[in-house]
Amino acid sequence: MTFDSLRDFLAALDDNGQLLRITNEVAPEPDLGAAGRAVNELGENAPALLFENILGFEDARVALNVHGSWPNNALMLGLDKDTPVKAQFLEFVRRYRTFPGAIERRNAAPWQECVIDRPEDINLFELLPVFRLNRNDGGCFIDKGVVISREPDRPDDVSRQNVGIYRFQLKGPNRLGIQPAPAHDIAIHLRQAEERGEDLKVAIAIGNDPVISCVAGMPILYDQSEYEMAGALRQKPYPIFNSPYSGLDIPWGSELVIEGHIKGRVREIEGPFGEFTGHYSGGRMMPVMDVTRVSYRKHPILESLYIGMPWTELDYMLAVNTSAPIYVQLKEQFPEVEAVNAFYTHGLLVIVSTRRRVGGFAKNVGLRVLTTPHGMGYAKVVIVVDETVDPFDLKQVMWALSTKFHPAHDLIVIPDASVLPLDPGSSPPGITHKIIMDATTPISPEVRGHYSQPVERPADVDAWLTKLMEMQRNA
Amino acid sequence: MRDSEIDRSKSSACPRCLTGDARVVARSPRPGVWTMHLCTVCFYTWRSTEPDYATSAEALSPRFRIDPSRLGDGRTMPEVPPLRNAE
Repeated sequence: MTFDSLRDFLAALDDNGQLLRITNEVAPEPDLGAAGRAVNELGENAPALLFENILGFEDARVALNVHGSWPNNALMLGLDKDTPVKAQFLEFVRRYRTFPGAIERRNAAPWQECVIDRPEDINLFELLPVFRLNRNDGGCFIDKGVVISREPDRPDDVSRQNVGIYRFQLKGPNRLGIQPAPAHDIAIHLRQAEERGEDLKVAIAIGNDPVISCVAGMPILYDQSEYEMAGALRQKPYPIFNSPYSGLDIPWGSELVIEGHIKGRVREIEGPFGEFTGHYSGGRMMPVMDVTRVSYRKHPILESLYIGMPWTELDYMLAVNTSAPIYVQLKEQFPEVEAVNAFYTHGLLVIVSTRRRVGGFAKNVGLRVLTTPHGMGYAKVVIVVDETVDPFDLKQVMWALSTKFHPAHDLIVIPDASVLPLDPGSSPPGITHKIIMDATTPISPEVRGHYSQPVERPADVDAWLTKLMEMQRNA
Repeated sequence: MRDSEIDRSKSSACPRCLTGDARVVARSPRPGVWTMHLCTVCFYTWRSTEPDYATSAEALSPRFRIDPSRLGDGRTMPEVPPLRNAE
């Protein structure tokens, strides 16, 4: 099953008992941020939330936590909602490998229904129920819009068209602050525009089908098309519409589309904003966008996500989609790699399980993680474990670390490597030491330790497991 | 409200940077429920219906105050590159 719009997916979540509608009136602050945090604290099976009555608005709606649980991520892929995480990872990888998927260009889009085309008539504070998410944020942010831009040097090369998620601070009725982190693709586009002395045309699509948000937050290669990746992950052509106004390809099913330009060579105070590291970003000088046109479906839904101390919706949304590309990139040189878990703080910590070709092999795998496109800006701590250890089961990973890891032999420290500046420990921002911890079992010629007598599972454990589970069910 | 309707003559103090250049930039679509305020110096915004930790200079956390003479503390992201055709 695939979904072409947020509305389609909300209906599917509802059918599966994964949507709560809140019809009582709520205040934008502090209710929406508080509810967004609270729903994450319900655990790994939490539902999405749809708020239908916002203080001061006539018919505004806000969707939160759409990706915020394992069942919601499984449903996004059209899988049974109870699909285990490792099975979701393996299915995600299988579809990823069918890249490029197909794109379907459509002639019209539902979001053309209503248009505000005079910049002076646009007031985003009144059009959308934007809200302050965490108490010390510098204002209201759009934090789950997908942002489309093209490479100024090659505007006709659609494989270099980027679709990414970046935060936007509302700094006026038609003025936004944007955070293009240097490691992200949009920063490459902006750099080219600024070198040329130009503005950068962008569109922000808000309220989307679940797959494009997942792909927009995914570390795919610079010249891979996000829309073709969405087609691959859906296993069905991805519908887009080319905006006659900006010339950019935009998801067909979006609720609302903001078009305009990032002003070249302009920086202005932005932030702070509570980020996925669990810390505020601080106030920095960042680019600014002028909004010149807004198009939307009637009664648009503002899709937003709670972000802060993990785990939050963001940690579910950027889990499997971050792990899969790193896995495929590692596999190219090291077919021995079994699985990758980059779930922690968007991959600031990465766990890899692998078979070993020779003694010392796991260290090569760990070093390669640091040189993957995502690893360069994240991957501060890399743990490598045997193929028999499930990297998605932290109890097993901790066992491997506590028994296989020898600090004198198994720790590599890389001094002063690159990391995203939002890492609160980086100093100066954007620079950090990185470590690889080899928690695999040494093999020849690395002969050391007493690992030749592992305790094996007693015979008939599986039969007993079945018997005990039945007894427990019938008790 | 439209951009042209924003009354620049009525300014108030910003609870974050304490300058006096904040103005009303939006009103609730359902009339009379709230107003949205914007500081034109540090771009802090707040809604009239928010708890006082966001609207009052006394209640706003001192760790999040901004000194208007040191905006961004010199931290720029991303850096502005040189122009290609610059001499």
